[in-house]
Amino acid sequence: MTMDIFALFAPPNLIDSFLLKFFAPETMNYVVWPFIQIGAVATVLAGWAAYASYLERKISAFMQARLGPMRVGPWGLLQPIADAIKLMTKEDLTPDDADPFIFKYAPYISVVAAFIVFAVIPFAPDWGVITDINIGLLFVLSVSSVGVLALILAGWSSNSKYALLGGLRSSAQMVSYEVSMGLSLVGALMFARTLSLSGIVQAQGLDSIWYFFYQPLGFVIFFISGIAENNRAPFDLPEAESELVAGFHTEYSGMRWSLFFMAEYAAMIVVSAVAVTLYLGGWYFPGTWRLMASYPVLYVFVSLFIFVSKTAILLYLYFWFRWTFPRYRYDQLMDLGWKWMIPASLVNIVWTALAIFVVQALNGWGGLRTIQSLTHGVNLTWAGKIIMVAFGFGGLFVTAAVLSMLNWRSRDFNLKKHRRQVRLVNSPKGQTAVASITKAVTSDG
Amino acid sequence: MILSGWESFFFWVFAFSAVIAALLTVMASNAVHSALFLISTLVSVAALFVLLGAEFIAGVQVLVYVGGVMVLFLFVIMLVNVGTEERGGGEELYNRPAQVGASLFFCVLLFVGLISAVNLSSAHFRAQPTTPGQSIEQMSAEQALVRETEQGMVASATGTSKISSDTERVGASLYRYGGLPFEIASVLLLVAIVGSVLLARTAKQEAAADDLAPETRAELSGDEALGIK
Amino acid sequence: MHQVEVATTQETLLDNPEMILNMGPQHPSTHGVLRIILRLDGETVIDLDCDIGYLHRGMEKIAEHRLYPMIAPYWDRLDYIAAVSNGLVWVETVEQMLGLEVPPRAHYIRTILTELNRIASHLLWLATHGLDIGSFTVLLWALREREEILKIFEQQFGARLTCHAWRIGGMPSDTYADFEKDVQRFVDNFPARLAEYETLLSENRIWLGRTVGIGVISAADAIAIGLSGPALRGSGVAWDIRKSRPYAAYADMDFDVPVGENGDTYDRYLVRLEEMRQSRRIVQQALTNLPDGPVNAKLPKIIKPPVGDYYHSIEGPKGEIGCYLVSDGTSRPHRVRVRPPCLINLQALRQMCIGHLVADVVAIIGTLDIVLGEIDR
Repeated sequence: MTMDIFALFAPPNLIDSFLLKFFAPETMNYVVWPFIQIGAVATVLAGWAAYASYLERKISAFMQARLGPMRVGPWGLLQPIADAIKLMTKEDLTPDDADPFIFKYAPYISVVAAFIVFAVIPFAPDWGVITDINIGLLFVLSVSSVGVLALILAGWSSNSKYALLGGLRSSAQMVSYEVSMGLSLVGALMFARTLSLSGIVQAQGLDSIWYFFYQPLGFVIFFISGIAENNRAPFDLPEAESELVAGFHTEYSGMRWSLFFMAEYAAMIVVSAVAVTLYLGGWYFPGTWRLMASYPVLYVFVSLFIFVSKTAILLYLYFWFRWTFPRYRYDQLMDLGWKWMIPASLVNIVWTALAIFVVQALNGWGGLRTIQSLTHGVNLTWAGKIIMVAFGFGGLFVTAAVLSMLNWRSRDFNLKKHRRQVRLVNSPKGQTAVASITKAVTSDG
Repeated sequence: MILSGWESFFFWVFAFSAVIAALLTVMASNAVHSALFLISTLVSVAALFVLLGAEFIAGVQVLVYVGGVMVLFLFVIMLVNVGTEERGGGEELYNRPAQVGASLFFCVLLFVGLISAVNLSSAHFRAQPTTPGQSIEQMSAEQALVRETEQGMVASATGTSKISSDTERVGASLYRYGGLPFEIASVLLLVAIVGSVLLARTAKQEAAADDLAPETRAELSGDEALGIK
Repeated sequence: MHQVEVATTQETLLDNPEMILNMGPQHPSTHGVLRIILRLDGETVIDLDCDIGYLHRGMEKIAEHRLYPMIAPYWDRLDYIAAVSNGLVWVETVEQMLGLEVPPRAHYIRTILTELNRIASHLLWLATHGLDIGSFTVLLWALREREEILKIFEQQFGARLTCHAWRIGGMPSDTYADFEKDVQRFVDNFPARLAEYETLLSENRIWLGRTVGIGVISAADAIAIGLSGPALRGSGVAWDIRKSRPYAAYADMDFDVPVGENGDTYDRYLVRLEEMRQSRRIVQQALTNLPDGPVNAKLPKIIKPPVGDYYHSIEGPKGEIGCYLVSDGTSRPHRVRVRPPCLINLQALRQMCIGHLVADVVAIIGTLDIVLGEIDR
């Protein structure tokens, strides 16, 4: 543990030379370093997930005119630790009729699926990423799709109707939203031309633009689908406490219950981190590259800080949505997924392809130069960038038009029309209002 | 391909776990447990794909099979209560000699198939040595694929180099050479989806779905074909 | 009550898509200990049955063994959210039996405090209804306003929830020193706060999607079932006892009765919000015209109403809360019966829910605004 934290705050070369006294270089590169990184990332992220719950409680408290946790430590800062101790010492109940094997192991699947994804997230350049694999984004999608198994198995193995309904809901919901989530990423990939997450960040760095400006629609779809995939409000149907008591984790208690929560918070961090990587430039920030040559270690730390800050802002959005919106109903959620999100992401793909085609066609037309190079992703000149950003934001209107064409007769499209005003009846002082009753009865037959 | 060091260690770990989990899949008495072991098998095989340098296939296998197909499997298993066999019913189906015979026959088939497959593929590898003078342009696409795979596997799975860029190759071969079959398959799937929705969705559910604007529903209320009340 | 038919053998969910789901009595959103047995097809409600009585305390029977003044505190425990209104129906019934002339100042103070209680009750409805539909923030915002009212109650009556607010013939004491200032401050602050809740919910797409067209009940059906209060007015019937048979000081007040159109959850939501505004209007009028004078009528030492049957009802926050009293001329009532608005409103649940989803059941329970203390008594 101490070594992990040491690794984060000291120049890596120093540790490298220190460790090389004990291990062969090959073991060093393939075994020791990855383990140090994994340990550091897992420790820090577990802490982050715990403190995300503290932040959520604090932020929601400030939104709701109260104080939140205040008793444990100054401003309640030790609350997550107290919670962890409480949950670990609680009795771990297994219902009589539950499938004990699956009931016990489902929480582990959920936590592992959430945490494994961090292996490919580029937190910072150089040693700030555990491993940079060529299929990074696909890895993120596939591993997070395993997370749904935990929910469905937990729901089934509890042998309770509420848990079963929660499990069924969650599986249907996650499978549907995975589609729009995956499709929304394609637009950004057309610019980056790689699935490697570090590669995507570097492509944005070389193009000196965040893909959010090329892909505003893609970002919105990805983030909404991500919220739905994480089962967070307003899409928290699998655990909708007002209908299904607690959904799939109704029967869980103690540490196993908290593992689900830990996985939820970790999955939120994953979605935020992937959104930052793809759309918000990862660890890039205007001006920080000046540090790269002279202070490489400081540069890594500054990049790490930038990445974490961007992720934290998206996490705040999560909290904000949760404490503002009411909850969707199950069928409305499916409508939103299949009738709005998936068509929108398909339109986004076609529109982005069209935009890239137009920008390429315009290159060299009338002396206009739009493309700088195509070696590492699509690098555009200023003229090309302006056209592309115009296309990106124009795409919002195009998609709105397409979606309204598809849905103009549906109930959700016409909801605002149903906004009504109440009628005010004022009979004179002391007189009866019975006359209006007979009217109502006769008019209704 | 020659495995060495950690690679061979991971190969044996995943190979054994794939085989054991596959055995448990057919041996488990509970259908949900079977599905779980099948998931383990699929994940182990995905890990073997990574060792082969085919990460894209590995990723897609986990995404599609574990995240999609197996979820639907579990969905069905949960809805269909498969308790009767577990409770000891259906013993009249057991026929010892036939079972043993069928198993032996299957083993022989498997053995022969494996041997011939290994022979064939090794012959394939030997048959196409890359001559030094031959440039990549002169090679057929297949030859280039083989060569790149061999090169790409030199330092796989341990992360020193970008392992291989097979994603691009999968994409290129799927959309360039296999464009038409790909589209036909997708249309076929679409037909299957539309058909199953049409078969499964009753008029009652259509009416309960409540996803039409009230005025539209009133407008369509006479329309029998939509089944909307 | 209607009995749910339980499917005989439930082989699998595919053979027989129907499922019996037991909601409550310890389910988080049945507003207490209501138990609902749902028959579901998938998540669509085919049929439901309410099982009540988990909070039965036999109040009406207890009342037969108590002296008239001693019964008033029990009435606070009926609808504990609106204890002040419930207390009023009891004392007014007895006052009418005795033919007592209550001083006008007492009437005005009763009007102010019952209207404040109506606002508090509607705020708690808004809070829990919002929570049922998943909007957590509105819960705490609404409770913040309710707290202001409860502080006034605490100052005035010495209790926040079960106040034992009234005595037969008037009030236990005159108002406290800063009463008018406190009420005025609440009246001044309230509209802005109410507008805040409206920004959070009224225009929200999800809120509209969850409430529009859910739990519709027509005016004729509502009258046939005997609904009262906002549940009735949401269906378009302008029936308000404060107007039709004014009690306390309502005859002197100028206010409107809000009425909905379609009788769905959204209409009832709007009606209740508007009712809070009208209540504020009434409080303001009563406060401006608050007369001076005594707050108690002269009472005999032992209250012995003349022989006979009496019925008196007032417009409680949930609907018409009435009290039917049979006196045999002794100091204890012969028989007491409460007309519980929540129990009668709950009858509409089955008709409102059938064909909707499980999530809507929760929303409909919320919109009926039930309190189990009064349903079970």
